[in-house]
Amino acid sequence: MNVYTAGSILIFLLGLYGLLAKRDLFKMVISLSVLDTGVNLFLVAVGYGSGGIAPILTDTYPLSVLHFVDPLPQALVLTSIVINLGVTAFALVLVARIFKKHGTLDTAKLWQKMGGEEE
Amino acid sequence: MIALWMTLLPWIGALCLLLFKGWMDRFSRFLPGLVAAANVLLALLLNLQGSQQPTLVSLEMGNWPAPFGIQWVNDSLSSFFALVISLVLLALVLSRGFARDKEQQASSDVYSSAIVLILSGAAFGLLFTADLFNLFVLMEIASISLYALVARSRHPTAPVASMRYLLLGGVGSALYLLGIGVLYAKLGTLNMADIALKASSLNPAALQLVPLLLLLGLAVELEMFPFNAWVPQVYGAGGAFVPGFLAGVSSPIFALLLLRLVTVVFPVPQLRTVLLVAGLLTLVIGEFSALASRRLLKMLAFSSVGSMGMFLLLVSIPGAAMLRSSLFWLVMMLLAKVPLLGVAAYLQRQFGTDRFLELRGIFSQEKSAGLVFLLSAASITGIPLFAGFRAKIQALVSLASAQYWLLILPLLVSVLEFVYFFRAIRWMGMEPPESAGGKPVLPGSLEGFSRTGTLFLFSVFALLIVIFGLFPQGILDSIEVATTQLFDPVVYARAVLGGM
Repeated sequence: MNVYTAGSILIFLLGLYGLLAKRDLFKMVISLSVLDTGVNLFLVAVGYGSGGIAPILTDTYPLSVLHFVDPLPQALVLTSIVINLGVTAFALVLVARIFKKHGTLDTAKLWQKMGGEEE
Repeated sequence: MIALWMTLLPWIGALCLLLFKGWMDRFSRFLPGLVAAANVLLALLLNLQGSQQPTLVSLEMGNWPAPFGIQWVNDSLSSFFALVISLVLLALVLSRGFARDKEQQASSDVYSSAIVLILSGAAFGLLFTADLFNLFVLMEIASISLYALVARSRHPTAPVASMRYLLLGGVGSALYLLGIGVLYAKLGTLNMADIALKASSLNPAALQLVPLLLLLGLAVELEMFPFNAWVPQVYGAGGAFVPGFLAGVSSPIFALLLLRLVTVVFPVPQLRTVLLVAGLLTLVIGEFSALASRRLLKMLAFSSVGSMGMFLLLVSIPGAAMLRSSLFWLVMMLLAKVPLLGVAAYLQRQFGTDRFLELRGIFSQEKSAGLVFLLSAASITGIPLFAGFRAKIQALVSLASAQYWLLILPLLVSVLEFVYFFRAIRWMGMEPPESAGGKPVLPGSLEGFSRTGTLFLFSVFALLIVIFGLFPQGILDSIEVATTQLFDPVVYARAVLGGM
């Protein structure tokens, strides 16, 4: 395991901690974003090779496939970043709506309130 | 190509709705229904093709050969379920159309219609895809659409319910993506067939970690304990579409993906142990919570969790008999859950509540809704001669043939299930009616054509339950073919990867 992989897992765990320990919805959304960043970094670390170059065929490196870093994880990460952007934007809109409606973002209060309306 | 069009057609529809918003306002009413009907036809065509030559058809996206490009595979399992799911979707889209609020602005309906279309396209994609990352993307498209649809419901708890679903779903998809990362690092492929061939070369630790991470990723949509905290609120937020979609389309599709993962891609014993424990816990917690529920939609939501628990339990045991029982179970539960949730959403709409206390004696006013509920409940609790009875017996027999002790909990919860459904029928059907009605969730109840249409739709499902209870052979035959194909991963791999 190289330093990038270890770092990415650390970021992932940090996000997970935030999700489990925080009671504020806004902070939870940020934690989710941190968690996703950890996963994205992990994917990039998977494709990284020491001393590798960008996987583009040029005149300087014609057909030097062996020196390329693996482009597939980068394509995956690109997709994943776009998806995370969408999810985070939507989550923030939802957070704003919840605050407008209930006047609080404290999950304990919100869950309790919901339980009251449920039964 | 047909499989691809089942996804493309709804997406093109959604794109047209959003691009030509001003012009399409009046079409937004009909477009989802038209697309759903077209998809039923495409699914029929797919099954007709399959009945002539029951082979696997592999589609290469952008002419990139497998395992480099994304593959969609159409086998007997996916084409059979494509038909079932397209029919459920048609019913749900129509019932949503009937439940449309007349005072609601047409422009706001365009967005909901577009989301429904995007969601249906992703659902079919999930049935056919043979690539784990493509699966992730489709899963995200489906879940974001679902979060949005839940949030758009007018129930007071809807935004918080959607948020809860989003947070859990977000963690699930991150875990899934992590699984993909580890898998790609170790094997260098994400094609299901290619993984099936190479999985044995994984080291033991990775062979346990990867399937576990992928399973945890699917767990949120599978309503598996402990990832199902969102279920009661999201079902409870109601609406004519979302609860039916979750129980009738989304959880069956993820169940099929799990089946593929367990039987074709990673036939690892440790994964089955996890499924066994998770299945038992999901089953017991779901059914006990249903017993404790005082709201109809919540009760049905927990009952749906319970049936998924039973499915997980069945999948956890290897063998073709178990696979057949689990698939039959899936179809029968789906057939009963759609009309049950339909009736619940209808009652919530008509009387502004789904609390049993306020719905006492409601079926004396709503006789046809009562009949649909009674027939579907009879099927789901396993009353003889109804469709669910065969599924339940088959499931219990196959559990008994594996391990006798496995029977104890399913038998116990079957009794529980009978108790709470009977109790619901007694409250809503046999007690003297009270002055029903709370604060209406949506303005205006359904009248005339919309009311008849909604009830007719779910009566068709109730009728299907009776017909399939008496003549289940057609479904059993299709499941037999699908099982045989699933049990031959080499044929699957060859179809996907080409002449190997």
